[in-house]
Amino acid sequence: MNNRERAVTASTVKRRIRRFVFWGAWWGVALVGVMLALPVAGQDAASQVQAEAERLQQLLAKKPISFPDNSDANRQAGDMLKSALKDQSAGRLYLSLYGIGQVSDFIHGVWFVMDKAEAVKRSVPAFEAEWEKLSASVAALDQQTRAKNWSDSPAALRALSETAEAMTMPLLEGGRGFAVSTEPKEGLFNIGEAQGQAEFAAFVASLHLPRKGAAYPLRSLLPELASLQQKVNAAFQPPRSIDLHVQFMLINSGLKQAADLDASKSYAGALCQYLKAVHDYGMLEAGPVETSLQPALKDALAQARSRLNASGRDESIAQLFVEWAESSLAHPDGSAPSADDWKGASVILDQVLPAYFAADHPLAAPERASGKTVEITLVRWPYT
Amino acid sequence: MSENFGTSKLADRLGVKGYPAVFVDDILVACPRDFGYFREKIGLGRYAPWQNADNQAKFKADLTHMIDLILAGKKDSALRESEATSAALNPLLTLPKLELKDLNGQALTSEQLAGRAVLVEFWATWCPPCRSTLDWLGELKSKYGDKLAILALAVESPEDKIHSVAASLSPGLRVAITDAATAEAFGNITSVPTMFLFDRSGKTARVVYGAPPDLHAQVDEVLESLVD
Repeated sequence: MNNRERAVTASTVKRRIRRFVFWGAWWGVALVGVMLALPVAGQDAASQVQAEAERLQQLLAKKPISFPDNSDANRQAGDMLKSALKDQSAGRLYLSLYGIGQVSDFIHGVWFVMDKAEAVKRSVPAFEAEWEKLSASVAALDQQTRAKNWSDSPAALRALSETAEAMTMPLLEGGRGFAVSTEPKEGLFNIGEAQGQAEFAAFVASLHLPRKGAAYPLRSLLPELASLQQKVNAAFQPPRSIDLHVQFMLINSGLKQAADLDASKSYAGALCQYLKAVHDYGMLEAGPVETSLQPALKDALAQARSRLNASGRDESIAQLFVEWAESSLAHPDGSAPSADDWKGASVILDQVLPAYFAADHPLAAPERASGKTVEITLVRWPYT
Repeated sequence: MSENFGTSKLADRLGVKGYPAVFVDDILVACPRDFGYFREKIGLGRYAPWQNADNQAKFKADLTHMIDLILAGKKDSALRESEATSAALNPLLTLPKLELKDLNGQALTSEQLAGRAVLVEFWATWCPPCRSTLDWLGELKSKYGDKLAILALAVESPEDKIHSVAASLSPGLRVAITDAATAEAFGNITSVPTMFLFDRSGKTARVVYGAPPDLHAQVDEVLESLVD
């Protein structure tokens, strides 16, 4: 039994910060001097992304976020925005966008707690009133996002927007669940996050970035998801199921999000989440990258980037992962990449990119079990 | 398959308020309390702590057993076995046996409470809603006098602080420190405040988790019927 009073400041934020820690490699990174020229057609989008990051910086300056259990939250959010801006200026547009999405989620969650905790204090009806107002705002943004015609957009933009939009309802409903099951203020962070995700999804949908080349053939990934889930289940054995508990939670969370996106035919988002799960699972299995092999790995990464840029097809989702690998090997302070940074880059090259290319052609649907079956249902929080 | 907390109709139908919860078809196999977990709170439970190989193995065995029962057409047996799990959601039918000592060193037993309505409040020193509830319980004691016994059972709190809080409370409340047996007898208390109300025969009349805004109204209404 823990201090329930601390819960709103600790557990809800811990849940969020856990996600940030996971993506930590994305944030500790900055430009090391290589300026990659953005395509001319992407200039507008790059400016929009920069403007959005700067807008959030200004908002954060005007209204700093604070949590009793995390006095450093404002600086952390500020650092994340700086990293997003550095990624943007380094040509890592999709990675930059991802970072902005994370900040939007986090700061809206915190702001909502800061603004409404007193108003909903121990009153479910007061919480419900706030929930209704915010739900209406999220619904309006969702409607705007869903009106977007993605046929001429890079799949990565669609993936980021779909993923964010898909999170809004679970966050709203989960927030209400927390409020009712525990106490009203417990639900505020999550419903604030829903607003942040909805705003981010709408922002991505508003970007002026035409697709380069032919469309990637998006499709349902149910066979791949089922296959990876089986591997993850088989790997969930002591001692790794104990020692790497958090890593397993993250993989399963990614698979869950991918499956939900797939079920709603949000195939770009599903592909992105599937590849993230491939990466996370790969991190469990892969060994360290020997120092002598690191230069070759960097070369291979540069070649992968060139191949993707030269492709006559939209490879933006693969580019997002290559951007992640690049950024994890380019620390802003000039320090050497960690063993995990090297391993992550290696997993992206050796496992994520092959999975991406394998996903562009149909796979046979998994065989359904014959005879009697049962349905096992796990009720869970979807993001951990 | 997995369903999101807050939107699961299966969970709603079976009264499961937290997560994680596991169902085979429509039979509840494990609820949050079994994992000792809801959000970031780690407590007791048959699979807790989850990060333990034996507990994970036990869960797998129990889940497999339940699947086997259902596949073998023995759904009734599966349902009966799940009753233990469901009971954990509504843990208590009657006032359990108590063998505690209050803060004054006096024995505090269930026998002493026979024939009276009983209110048991589980609380902790670090829980502000508990403090305000305890103050209000003093008012209830003044109102109902000997018709109502009120026990304030402290959990997971430093003893010196328990004494400090107790010194500020109505002397009519009997304050004691909960032991493991008592916590277990009440269905493993995994959150505070948690309040149990029992009628004069010892039958459970109401369980209130947390401090909902209408707590006073709820409890007043029940007590009016219990002490008349």
